[in-house]
Amino acid sequence: MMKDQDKIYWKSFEELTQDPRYLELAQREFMEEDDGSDFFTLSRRKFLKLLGASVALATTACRRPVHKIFPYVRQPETLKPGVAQYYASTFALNNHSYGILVKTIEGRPIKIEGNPDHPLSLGSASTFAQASILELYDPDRKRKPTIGNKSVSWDEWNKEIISLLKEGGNKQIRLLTESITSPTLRSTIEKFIKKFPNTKWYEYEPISQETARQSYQHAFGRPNIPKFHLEKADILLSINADILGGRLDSNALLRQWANKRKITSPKDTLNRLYVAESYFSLTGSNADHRLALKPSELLLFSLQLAKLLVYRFNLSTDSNIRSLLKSVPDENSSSYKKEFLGALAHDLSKNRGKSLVLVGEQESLELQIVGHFINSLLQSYGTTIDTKISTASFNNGFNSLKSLTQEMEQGKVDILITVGGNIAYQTDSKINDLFKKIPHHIRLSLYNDETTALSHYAAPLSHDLESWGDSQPETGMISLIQPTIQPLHDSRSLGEVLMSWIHEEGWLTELKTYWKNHIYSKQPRMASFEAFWEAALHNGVVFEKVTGSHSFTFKPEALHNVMKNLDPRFRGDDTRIELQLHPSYTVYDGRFANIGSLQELPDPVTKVTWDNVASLSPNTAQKLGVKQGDIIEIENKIKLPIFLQPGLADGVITTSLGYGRSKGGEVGIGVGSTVFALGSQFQHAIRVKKLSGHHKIATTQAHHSMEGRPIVLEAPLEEYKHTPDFPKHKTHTPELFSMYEEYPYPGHKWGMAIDLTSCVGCSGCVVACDVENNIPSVGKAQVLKGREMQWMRLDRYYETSLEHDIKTVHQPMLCQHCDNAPCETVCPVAATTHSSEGINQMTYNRCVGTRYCANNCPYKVRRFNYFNFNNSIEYPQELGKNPDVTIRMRGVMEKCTFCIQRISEGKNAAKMRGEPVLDGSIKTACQEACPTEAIIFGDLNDPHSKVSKASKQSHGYHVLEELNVRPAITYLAKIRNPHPKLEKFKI
Amino acid sequence: MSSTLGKKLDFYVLKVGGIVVVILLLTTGIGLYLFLYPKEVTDVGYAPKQPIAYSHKLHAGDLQISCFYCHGNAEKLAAATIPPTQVCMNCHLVVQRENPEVKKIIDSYTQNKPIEWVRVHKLPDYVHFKHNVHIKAGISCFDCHGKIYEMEVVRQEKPLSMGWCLDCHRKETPLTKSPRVEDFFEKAVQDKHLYEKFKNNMKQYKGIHWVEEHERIGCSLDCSACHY
Repeated sequence: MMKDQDKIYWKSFEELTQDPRYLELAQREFMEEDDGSDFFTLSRRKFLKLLGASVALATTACRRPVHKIFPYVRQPETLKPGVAQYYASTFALNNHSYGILVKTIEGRPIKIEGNPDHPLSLGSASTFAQASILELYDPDRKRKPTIGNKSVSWDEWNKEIISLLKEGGNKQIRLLTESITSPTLRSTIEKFIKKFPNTKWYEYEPISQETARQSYQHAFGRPNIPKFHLEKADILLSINADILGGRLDSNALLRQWANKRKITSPKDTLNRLYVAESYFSLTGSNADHRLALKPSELLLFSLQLAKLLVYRFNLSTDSNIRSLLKSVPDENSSSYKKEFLGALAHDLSKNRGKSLVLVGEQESLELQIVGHFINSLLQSYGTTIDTKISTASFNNGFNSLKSLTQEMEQGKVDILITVGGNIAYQTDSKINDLFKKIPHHIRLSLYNDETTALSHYAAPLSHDLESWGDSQPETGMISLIQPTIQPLHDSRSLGEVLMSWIHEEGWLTELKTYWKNHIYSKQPRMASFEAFWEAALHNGVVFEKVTGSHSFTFKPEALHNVMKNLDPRFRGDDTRIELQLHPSYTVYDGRFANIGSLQELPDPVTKVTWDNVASLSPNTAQKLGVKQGDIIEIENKIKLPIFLQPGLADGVITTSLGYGRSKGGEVGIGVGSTVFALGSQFQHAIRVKKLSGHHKIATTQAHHSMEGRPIVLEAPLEEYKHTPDFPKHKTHTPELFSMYEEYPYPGHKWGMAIDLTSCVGCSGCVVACDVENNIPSVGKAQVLKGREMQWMRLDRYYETSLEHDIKTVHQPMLCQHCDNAPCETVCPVAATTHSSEGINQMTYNRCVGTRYCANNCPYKVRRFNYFNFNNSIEYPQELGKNPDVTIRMRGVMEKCTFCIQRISEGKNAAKMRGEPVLDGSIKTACQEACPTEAIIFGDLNDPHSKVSKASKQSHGYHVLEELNVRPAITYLAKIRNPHPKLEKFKI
Repeated sequence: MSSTLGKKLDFYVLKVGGIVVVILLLTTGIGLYLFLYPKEVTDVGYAPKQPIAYSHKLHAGDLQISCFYCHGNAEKLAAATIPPTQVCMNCHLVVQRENPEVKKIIDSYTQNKPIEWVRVHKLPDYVHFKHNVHIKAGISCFDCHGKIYEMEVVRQEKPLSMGWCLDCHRKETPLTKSPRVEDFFEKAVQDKHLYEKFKNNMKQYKGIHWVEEHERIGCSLDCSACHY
């Protein structure tokens, strides 16, 4: 907990209330008592045995083991041993996709980065895209085709399936896939349907855009979802939309948002983000103003906003609409909500054509229609909303599944083919019973998951990194998926399987033919298809000219329909508890549940790892008579542990999807509980029952506490304009001198600047660091002991200066590479030393594990290998490790190296070219992954480098400057842009 | 025996006995290391039998084939790499096809089976050595590998230990007398005309920059220069 004038910053309720247990833990070196396991206690007999063995080892002469070298017989021309090669490809998930670069070394993909040439990536990749490399090497992936329990070859399997499909022409075939954004694959499926005409095709995604499509259909007569331009919006309102986090296309949206969030001088302006939401989202944590509402209150809120805009600010003179909105009750109380609405409506009306309202795609049809209505009032269509380009969306929600379940119920389905997805897990248990009625269930999947367990014929799908494909994220843009490795297992892609079922030529030929006929033909000025194909493969993306815009004239009937039978909804019932679900920030809808690094990635808001929890406000907890860690049962179906979360409306419980997997890999099984049992909706009115027992929640929010020192600094824009160097007035740094001689840094002096204004806390950097530096995940038991290994963490501080409005600051915390590093002076074996370039270097092979350095680090960024975490990796995980980074063993301290391997590579490349190192040519993994470009790395000795300029900004500060450790990382204080009426600027 | 006594025993045996044993082992270890250093410990003289009796003396010494003809990656990449069979076949497609050793190469090429060479020079996994920058800095191959052109069977000449690396990295004065690439062509040096021709050729040789004086650029003493 830290205090800054009238503000209080805190990380957890325990810290805020100064809970004695918390204080004790913060003081202690080890978080947990030894759990009494006999891991290290030795019996006398065992000790003597070990003694004998070590003497025997010591006396045996070490013979050099024979290493063999296998050179190529014929070396591929383009391959350079040990040198990374990048291939442009595409990451596709649900309806969204964007360009990636796959970094491969000697034919093994080892990291995924964003494709700078792809407008939806602009060089950064989301947590999911980056973690898909870990999915590729997951040892739990399905490896062989099976019939029943018997493993068979693909030829046998295919033979069986084809004879099944062919015999008896009247068999009803149903194809159920996950969302398919590949135009080629869609055309191939059509071909399959033509060949087997009794086939019907369904798509299902638990997090679908079905309702969003319906709302556009109602409001504008066209279901297509347009593209948003956040970079054109000065005022943004997000109603449960989570534009900066939960959406899969957040990467591009984040960059657009952050470009309006860069401060270099007091003359700059910022956009303003309002958030009204019923759970604590990442977007909410970055809001300038946030309003916590119950799910049932969101619609009323949006209608009140519409009424204000129409009546007070006269944005519509349509008498029809005016009379429709008349019945909407005003916010009468003198509440914060009223002030919020007033300020928001004021801002929006002042910025017509420069503002944007976004409603969550999982919200009710009515709410989304009201959102469209407000946008049309604000003249957003054609300005902040693109009227030309629409994004890929399909009817793949629960409604489209209904006719399939009906048919299954009636026993009309003879053959069901499920591809990808995981329907048995992603819906309630009713569907599992229906599966038993199907005589033949054919399954294609990456894992042996819940749905595979219900199938008769199952075969492994290839990972996207192993197969050819394409994807169309929006009109006018199409990108290619190319394989970067041969399939690791005996797997095939859906395209390959379908081609063999319809007896046609290979999948790649099909892909090329489709591209030749449908995409190449529209490209001007391309000499030949081969040239075009090569260019497309190289760039990863092809553009087409989009002409003609669509009309977005709001239909008043839509609003009329919303208002028609609405009255009961206006009044939220205070007696019932409302449940709000949201996709998980780490495992999405459960498909990443088997990736340890993602399970261990703390949720960006709650900082909970390895669990989903029932988050609720302290008031709600009091009402229910529960406290942190208690277990509740929701609707007699779901058991969840209680987690106290500030910033939630009373009477709301929120939790995330994607947990409680029962099959599909060792890592994900039994982590958390599934909430799909409640059905497909994201909002429910629920009954809650308290159960006995206690659940340990592995949250990292209180780990590595910095004990109440001024660590995060922030100011509203007005204050920054008044005193641009405000951080200097907030910290009290005495005149500093050092007893140590100063280092000269004759060559480079590496440093970093982190802009807290544009850091949203998405945690992409943490995953990038994990993958780049071979950081293992350690499991829940170790996280509970504070032994997580991530070199980088995102500290999340709550600030409560205003009672109603909780504010959040995200701060990436990593090794500060201090000039007067406290860790260096205490190492007894000189394993951690200062380099001539300002890097606090860690020499693993010298470290003996005293952990003195970690004790002496004021930033708590050093991590110790308590166990040989990397020893338990199994094939093929080792193939995915970065060969440029040493795998650390047990008993060794480690920490952020500023990606020394990248620095070394960049320096050597410059040396080989005979040029100085260019600014920007060396990027750390976290910097590369950052979608908002909040992290800048470079040479501080070069006055023209980006990092030098950023570090010299007036609102830059060092964390714990008064210790005189002189960190190489400068934080740029967070600048908010509150509405003057809601937050008065005081000097 | 009661468990408490057992635990006490464990404690004494572990703590006291353990410390004594560790000290003993450490002293013997250090003694042995110092006694044997550097020859046995660092594998100087290690010359394993290779699957093919390839003679560097013949190819590099007598025939004066440049090191980079086969180990071309050394001047471009971190790893020098052993050439693919294909490179051998550039000549042996026509030369010495009847030689039983050359036959092994032809077999490898026709059967698409890599030759299993035995590694002679090996650094530990936590050391990242880069050939290209050292060659660029004017270090000759022979500084680290010895007179390869005189070896019938390749053997390790230098200890390749960290101390040995640092000996060079620490030197304050420029190593102007270091044996350089041209020293390898002793005969060429004696024949002035041939030497000039070779030198000019080398200047044109793509990728390598002829270093007249042994420039010492970026001779780092940082741990993280090699260990990361």
